[in-house]
This record gives sequence, C-alpha cells and structure tokens, in this order.
Amino acid sequence: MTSHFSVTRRQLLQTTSTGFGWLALAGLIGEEARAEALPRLPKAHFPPKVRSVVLCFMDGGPSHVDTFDPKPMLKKHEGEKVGDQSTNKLYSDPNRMWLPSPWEFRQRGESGLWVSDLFPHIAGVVDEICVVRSMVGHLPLHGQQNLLLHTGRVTGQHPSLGAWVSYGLGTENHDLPGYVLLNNDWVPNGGMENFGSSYLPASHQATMVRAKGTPVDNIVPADAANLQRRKLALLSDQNAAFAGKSSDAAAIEAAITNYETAFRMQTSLPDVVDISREPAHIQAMYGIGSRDEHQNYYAMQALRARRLVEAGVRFIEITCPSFDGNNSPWDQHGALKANHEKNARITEQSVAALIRDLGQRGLLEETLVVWAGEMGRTPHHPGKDGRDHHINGYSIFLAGGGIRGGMTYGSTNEFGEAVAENSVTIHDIHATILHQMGVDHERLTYRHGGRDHRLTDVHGRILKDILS
Amino acid sequence: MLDYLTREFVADGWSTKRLIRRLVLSRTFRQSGEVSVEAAAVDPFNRWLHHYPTRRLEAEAIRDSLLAVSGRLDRKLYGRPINPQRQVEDPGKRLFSGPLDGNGRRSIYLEVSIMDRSKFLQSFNAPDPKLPTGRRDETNVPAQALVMLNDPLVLALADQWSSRLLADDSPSVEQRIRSMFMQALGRLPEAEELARWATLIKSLSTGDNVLADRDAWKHAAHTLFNLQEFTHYR
Repeated sequence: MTSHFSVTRRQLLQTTSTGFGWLALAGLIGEEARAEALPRLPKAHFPPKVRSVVLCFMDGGPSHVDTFDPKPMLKKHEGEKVGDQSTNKLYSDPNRMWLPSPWEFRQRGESGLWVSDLFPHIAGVVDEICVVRSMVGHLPLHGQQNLLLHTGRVTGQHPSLGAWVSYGLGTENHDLPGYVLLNNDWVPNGGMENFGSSYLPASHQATMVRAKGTPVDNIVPADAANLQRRKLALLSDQNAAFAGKSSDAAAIEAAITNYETAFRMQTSLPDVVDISREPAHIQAMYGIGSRDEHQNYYAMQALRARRLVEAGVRFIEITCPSFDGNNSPWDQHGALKANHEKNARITEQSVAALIRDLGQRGLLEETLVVWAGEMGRTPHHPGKDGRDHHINGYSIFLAGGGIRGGMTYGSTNEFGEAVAENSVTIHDIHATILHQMGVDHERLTYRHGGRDHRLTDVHGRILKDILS
Repeated sequence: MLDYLTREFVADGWSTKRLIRRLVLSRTFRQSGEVSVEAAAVDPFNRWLHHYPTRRLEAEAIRDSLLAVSGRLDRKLYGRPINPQRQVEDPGKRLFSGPLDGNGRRSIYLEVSIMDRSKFLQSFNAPDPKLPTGRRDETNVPAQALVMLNDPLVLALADQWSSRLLADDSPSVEQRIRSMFMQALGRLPEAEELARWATLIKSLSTGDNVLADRDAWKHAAHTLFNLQEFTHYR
C-alpha cells in the first residue's frame, strides 16, 4: 500500500493540479540565473553630481501655507466656513474656517522666491533652494508619513533612504559609517525603523550621534590607549591562530581588521563631531550658544553635519528636538503661532547657515541639502490658531547638489488645499536624490523574500525640471 | 534525503520537535569545523559537507554566553519579560529602561519593542522584529568590535567573572588560565597560548599577589570575551 506521503517531492510537484510545481520550479531556476547575471554594481551607475546628502527632517509637518506657499485667498476668505469650496475629503466638516497665515510673505533674493517672515535666515539663501510645492503623501498620519519619507512605504519594514545610499555607494571614509543620524533626543513617530537597514545588511543602518552626553554608543574607550593596545596585540595573535584553524579564515581575518578600524574610530569619530575648534564666527552663524537649549543643540548637529560631509559621510540626517511634551515637533494642531515660531527659531538659522557654509567652502555643488517634513498643514481649522494634517500639496525644498536654485516646482490650488499642477511623490524625490548620486533607482535592488526590492518600489520619476 | 526525512517526519506523528532532534543529532550536523587536508583536496568547497563551516554565534547566544561564562546567568525558565537598558525612557511609547545585565536573564526574555530594539542584540544582527526573516544576515563590522571592547555590559560581566575567578582555589596563574579557557572556550590552552596569557596578566598586575589582583583578571576576562573563538563555532 502506498501512503499519500510516500510520493517523492518531485512526483508531488509534477502531479499537483495543472502542474503549478513545474512552473514554480522553472521560475525559481530562472530567478537564480537572473541574480547571477545581474551582480550588484559596486560603483555608481553613472557619473555622480552629489557626494553627500543632508536631510533636515522637519518632524511633525511644518505648514506650507505659512512658509513657502503664500495664499492671499485665505486672507480674503478669513473666517468663512469652507463649505463646498473645500476639496478635502478627510476634513469634510463644512464648519471649518479658512485661516490666513499669521506671517507676512515677501519675495526674497534675486529670484524673488516667496518666503514668509517665519524663516528670516532661509529667506537669505533662497537663490540656492528649489521649493517643491506639490508634494503628495499617502496617509495623513505621522508614523505612516515618516516611514514613507524615510523608507518609501507607509508600512515601514523596508530600509531607510540613508541605508540604501550606504548600500549602493559604500563609504568614502572607512573609519566612519555611511549613514549618520544626528539626533536630538527624540525618536520620531514610526520609531527607529525610520533609520534602519531592514533587510539590507545591518552595517547600513544609521549610526546615531546624540546632541547631549556621549555622542556615540561605545565610542569612548573603556581602557587607556596603551592598555587597549596590549589587549589588541594579544587578540591579534590569538585570532590569527584561530583563523588558521577555522574553515573560513577570511571572516576571522576581516574581524581582525575590524578591531584595528574600531581602534581608530574611537578617535576619528569623536574628532569629526567635535565642533569646539570651529571658529567663533562659524559657531555663531549656526546659532551655537543660543539661550534656547534646543536651538543650541540643533545648531551643534547642523555644524556636525557639515564636518561629516567634509569627512566623506554619504548620508546625514538631522532630526528636530521635541519640546513641551509635543506629540511631534512641528505638529501644531493648536498654538500654531507660538510653536511654529519656536520650531523655526530652533532650526531655520542652522539650516540656512549649513547651506551658506557649504557654499562658502565650495561643497554645495556636491552636497544635496533636503529640507522636508512628512506632511503639510490644512489651510482651514475649526479654531483660529492651529492647523491639522495635510498631504495633498505641501512644500519641501532641496538645495545644492545640482539642483536649480531660486525656483519653485509644482503648485497648489488658490487655497493651498490640493495640488494644482505637477504633483510630486516621495518616490520621485527619492529617485531624484539617487539620480544625483549617480544611482539609477530602478537598478539599485536587493533580493529579499524571493524577489528584488528597491527604495522606490514600482514608482519614482526623476524631476528633471529642477536639475541644473 | 528530503524524501527520507519527510517519511520519518510523518512516521514520527508530524512532530517538528522530533524532526529537529533527528537533524541536530545527525553526524553531519555534529561535525567539527576542522578541515582535513584529504577532504579539502577532494571537495574544496565543502559541497559534500565534510566539515561544519565556521560561523558566528547569533546575537542572543553571544549575550547568553557572556552571562554564562561570567556566572551571572539565571537559568530560571519562564517569567515576565525584562526591559533592555535605555539611555532615555519614553513612557508615551512604553519604552522603559531595565537593568544593564537584564538580571542575568537569557536574551529570549528581553522585551522586544519595534520602536527601540536592544542595541547590543541589533549590532550582532538580531533581525528587525517587524520583518519575517528566514535567514539572518551576518555582518562583520567595526561597530561589533566597539561593542565588545567598550560596551558597559561586556565590561560589567568581565568584572563579574573576575570576582568568581579570584574566589577559585587555583594554585597558580597558569592553572587559572587553563580554567578560564575551559570555561569560555571549552578547551585547554596550548603551551604557547598559556605563556602569552600569563605574560599579559603578570604584566598587568601591580601588586605582589597576581592571583588576588582583581583588575588584572578583569582585563584578562575582557580580552578573552573579545576572542573571535569566543563568538564563533568552529
């Protein structure tokens, strides 16, 4: 008697209904062959314009209609109920009222780009920046939009943009990581996953540099240098002997090299993030020494960002500090006037200084500075001093890195409530960033769970119109 | 072989536990990593599994080994999960801090949060808890050396081990080194190694009685934890 389970695996695959097994097997073999034929490119796909990216993440969603997207119609219809004029399906309450910006807008620089009085310092560098006014998100929620901005998926579970850059281009400086997160003691919604490597090798996840206290975990040597050296000498002898006996000598030898690199990192990383020897006028330009503790820390992190760019770090991100128990820093459902001003004071001088400083050093052409929140804010509200989450048409800006300065791209309707032309997704921004780094976003892939994944999934369009 | 294993699996009443036991008790699985010259000549790429390739311990096993060798391991089964140590607590996200050594509990009892994972485990490739991960990646990076050299947990457990070593009745430095090798690596040191470690320990010791110099033994323990042999199967 033959039991059902004594058929062979091959028989089972052959006899299962309509022979799906054969198809699957053929697919598997085909996939393996393709993976062999397309090895990961160790170098850029084409000559890069950009060596490093600095992402100034404006966590919480700064309001577009109060910063870079002036809407005189809001003043004209101030206090009127939105009624049928509103196109927003999420906030369908017809009793919400149009809310004009509490800040004046002015045209700035030679380009005449509109910037509100909320950003007096950024107003000084407008000729370097390109404002994209037509960003579109997926879900008006912090965690989801944060993950979308960082990983290209609202669900997360995928590597961060910085991890992809590190994976795709490696590091120029072997004593430093490829992706550095300059954090301000606040983990944005979505968690550390925003900065993770997910299925990419763990070495590509962000290395966190804190504003307060010891900047990097385990970077301070536990032993005096001479003692540590003696330990390392003994380890080197022991490990070399172990490598000779093991079946994978290469891995053990790599670990020996890692110990030497780690020894150097203990001085190189603290040196790079040590801003104490920066001249006083540079420190002052960033806002270091501000009486506002948060501004002081943000300024430190921004100056560190410039030093990390100089040291060859590929991807640097600065997060915002949270204050007053805010859910997230720029999330002003209420106290719009006071707290947008506070957020602006904490961040905008340093961001402008970073752009100026990179420019003065001739580094701005090869460094792309991206200023972006995860969403914008509604042009209407039931009250008079707050705005809610908004994803259909909000503003971000890019500067340097082969981007045309002094321009806007895309637009929202006359109330700033929906995209009017040239809608742009985060995937488009990702594709454009990778493009400027010499990477084809469709060819930067990693095989996981049986298929190739990319940062832009099946999306992404390079914004050629904003490139110089 | 798969057909054979499948039949045995079914015959065993579909017990995955028995299947795993059958696999790990097989001669193939229990092979050492030593490669014979003859086998390497015939099958240099180990296609026919004549040795078990050298591989690193998983993150949890590295932490558990540190606890076990230092004498801090609490072998109690079950119980409440324990928070990893955190620099900053965030009650809003239910991120609380726990004791540095997790009260000696095995890594399986460390609470996992997708918002903020254990940094120690993460640096040795414990996977993202939101991802189904069939096979862990195994990176080999300088940050791991920094963890083993400078992480407070590793240092605290080296200190813990040294206190136990001082309480043993080793009559000589050499005898204690032999005992350390047995505890951490499961083998005795060769003559050359014995001399190497004895030289280090004696040179680190400041007093007359090397056997009672806790600092010297702490540094020796710390160095031993940093051996590749400690974190690898061979």
